[in-house]
Amino acid sequence: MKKAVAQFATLVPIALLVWALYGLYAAPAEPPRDWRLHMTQEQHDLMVAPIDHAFRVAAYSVTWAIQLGYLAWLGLKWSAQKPLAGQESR
Amino acid sequence: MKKILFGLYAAFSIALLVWAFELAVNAPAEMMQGDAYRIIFYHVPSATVAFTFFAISMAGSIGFLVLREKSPVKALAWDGWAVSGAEVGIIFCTVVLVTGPLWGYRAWGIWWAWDARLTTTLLLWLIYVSYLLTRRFAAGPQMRTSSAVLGIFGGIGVPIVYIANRIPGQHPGPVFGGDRSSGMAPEILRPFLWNMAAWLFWGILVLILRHQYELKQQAAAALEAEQSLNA
Amino acid sequence: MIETLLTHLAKDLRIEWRSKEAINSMLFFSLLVVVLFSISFDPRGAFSRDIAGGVLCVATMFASVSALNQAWAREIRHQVLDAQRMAPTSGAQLYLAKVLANFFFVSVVQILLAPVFLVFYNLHVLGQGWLLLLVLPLGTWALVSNGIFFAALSINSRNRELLLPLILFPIFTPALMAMVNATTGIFTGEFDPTIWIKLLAAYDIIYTTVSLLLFDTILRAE
Repeated sequence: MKKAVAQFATLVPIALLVWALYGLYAAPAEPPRDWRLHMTQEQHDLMVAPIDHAFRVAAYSVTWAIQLGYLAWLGLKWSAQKPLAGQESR
Repeated sequence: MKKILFGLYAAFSIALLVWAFELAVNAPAEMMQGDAYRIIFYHVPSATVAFTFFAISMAGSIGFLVLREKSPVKALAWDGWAVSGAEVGIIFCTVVLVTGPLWGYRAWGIWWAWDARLTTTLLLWLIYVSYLLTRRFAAGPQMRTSSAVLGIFGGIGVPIVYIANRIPGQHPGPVFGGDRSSGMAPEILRPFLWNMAAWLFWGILVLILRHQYELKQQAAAALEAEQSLNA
Repeated sequence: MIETLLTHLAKDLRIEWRSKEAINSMLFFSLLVVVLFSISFDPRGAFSRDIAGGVLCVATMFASVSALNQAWAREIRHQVLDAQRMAPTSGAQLYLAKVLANFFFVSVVQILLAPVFLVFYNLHVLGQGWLLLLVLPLGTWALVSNGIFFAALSINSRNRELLLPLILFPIFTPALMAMVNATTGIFTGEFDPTIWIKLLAAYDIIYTTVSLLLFDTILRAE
């Protein structure tokens, strides 16, 4: 049971990180530099919106990948501590 | 009893984060940068938390150096806060350094700039990573003293770097937003403040966990020392 | 008090005069760094003036790390450092003497390297060249004073040679910025380096003061 929890705890941040990277990779292409010659502001905004969304999602996923990854690492070190320390009264 | 209180605090922090996320997602999108600006809701709070915890770490270092002769037990507690503050601060600083470029690229078209804020943040990150490396590599009882001294050096370097970057010179960097509270619209300010509170609570939660782990480590080390003396 | 300082200083200078290991290793290493940078960045004309300041500072940094690592190694042999700890003098004098000695060594290397540098980079100093006589010693002082302090700090660690640059470089960065900007301002003549020189001087004063105050803590840390 403990091992399953530990494995889950380490997989979640890694999964989040992979998801973030994939989102960035799969984001649609940016409009060209001279987009003002080809399209209106509204068209540009429509083109750009999914890219912004991908970056937003990636940033949030990476944030939680880092936070949960740290907690997972801390949890692993905590459980690896020798049981003698548990005899100390808190 | 303590565990129940802690559990309640943890649950409250998570609830706060969820609420803050809801507010952030539903905040109006009228700012000039399009939707990518929402990164501000956890980028700036993470930076605030990181700098606060680095300050806690420096206070811990100073406390340890002052108290280590007079009362070693108290000094050890201060040292515990020093290392916890440093480590959790580094985590939040990493978040800032990763989400910042992602936001900057969408908003301003550049991944990085060597202006005051960014350089200071990067420097802080490097200094506290070297602090952790010192703790790992230094051997024996001097480890805490050496790293405490390093913590002080690192702390006084930060304002110097910040001032150095504000000098207009050859490479003027773009003025990155961040502290827009003076000019923030109230519809944005409300979710921003909730997010600030939520991340602060979460940060303190992680800090307490790290500190508890450090206390256990210190107890284990003391026990080991005692056993080897008696053996 | 000043006698103790002079005694320590004379000792360090005498040892170095006999072996010349610090100066030789620094000289050759910084020469290598300058050559490597020249090959990598192909300095020409205006571009060379832009980067020369940075290359000079970085070359000095890397070169002095090799000297700094050895600075305390001499004291550890034959338990000299323990004798120093037991002596009734304050650690600050030992520290200051070591800083002065190493400052001298690094300055010698810089003076010997300057013509090589001017040749490789075809440098014509467009700004106020005499200010270099102010900037380089200030920058060298910042490097050496921090370096000696942290070398003493990392003396008992497992990876002593690795730990010193890891600690030194982040903390030295403000001085590096000031030094590079000041030398670039002097070489290119495009902007006034005064404020950077002031910043460098302030850095030197602050860090030397803190180092003097905290050196005894490090020395007698056990």
